[in-house]
Amino acid sequence: MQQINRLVAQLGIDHRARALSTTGLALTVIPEVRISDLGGLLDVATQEFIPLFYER
Amino acid sequence: VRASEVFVGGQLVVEKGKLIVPIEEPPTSMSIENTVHIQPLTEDALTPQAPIANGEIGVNLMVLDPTRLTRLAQVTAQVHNHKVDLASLGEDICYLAVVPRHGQPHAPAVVFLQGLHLQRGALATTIAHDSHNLLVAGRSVQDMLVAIRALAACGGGIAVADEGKVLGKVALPLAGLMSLKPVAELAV
Repeated sequence: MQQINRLVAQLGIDHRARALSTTGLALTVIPEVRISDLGGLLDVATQEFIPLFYER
Repeated sequence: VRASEVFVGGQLVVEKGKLIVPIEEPPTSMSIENTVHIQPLTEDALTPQAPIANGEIGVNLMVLDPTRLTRLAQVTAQVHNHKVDLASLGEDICYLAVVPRHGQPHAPAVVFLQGLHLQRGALATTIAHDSHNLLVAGRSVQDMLVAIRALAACGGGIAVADEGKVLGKVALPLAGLMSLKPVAELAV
């Protein structure tokens, strides 16, 4: 794990969790937006999917 | 207080602080190895396709704060041939994809993420609460594919790729979450 953490740091990730920095990004109960395999961006509060693109 | 002897069901199992009976592996109803089952992937599957061919479009962006909470930001992006120019989204942008790995038939979900501080390459992991699909962040779709395939080959874990090569990985072949290696060995 120390080796992988060093590699992750070399790629620029300086979050404290290092190689585990992304492990919560698909946990669709932590505010405010997360990613779901079922539809992409999810509004955690409403549990509704947010479109990736919108018309300006 | 430290127990020197332990009895289970009337049988002495620990004597002088040491286990004196073998512990049998419990039977499992399903295999917990080789649990990364993903559909064949191409770069297109990990590249968001904008609904316009060229021009400007609004993008809903996931922003990762240092607190590990996330928020939504709306930005305008430049599009060329239905592909979003990452640099036009702002600084510190990468792709973030969830690849179904439990045999689900649907395609990966891909969004744009700001705040990870990933400057190049890709980081993939099958530790991705709660469903533990394969989660991959990357500046390059090619590197994301390299990292994904590395994890598919070893049964899951954490993989780092850059410039088309795997830089390193931690194999977690038990359910894509655990290793049988001793902690001291895995920690290095």
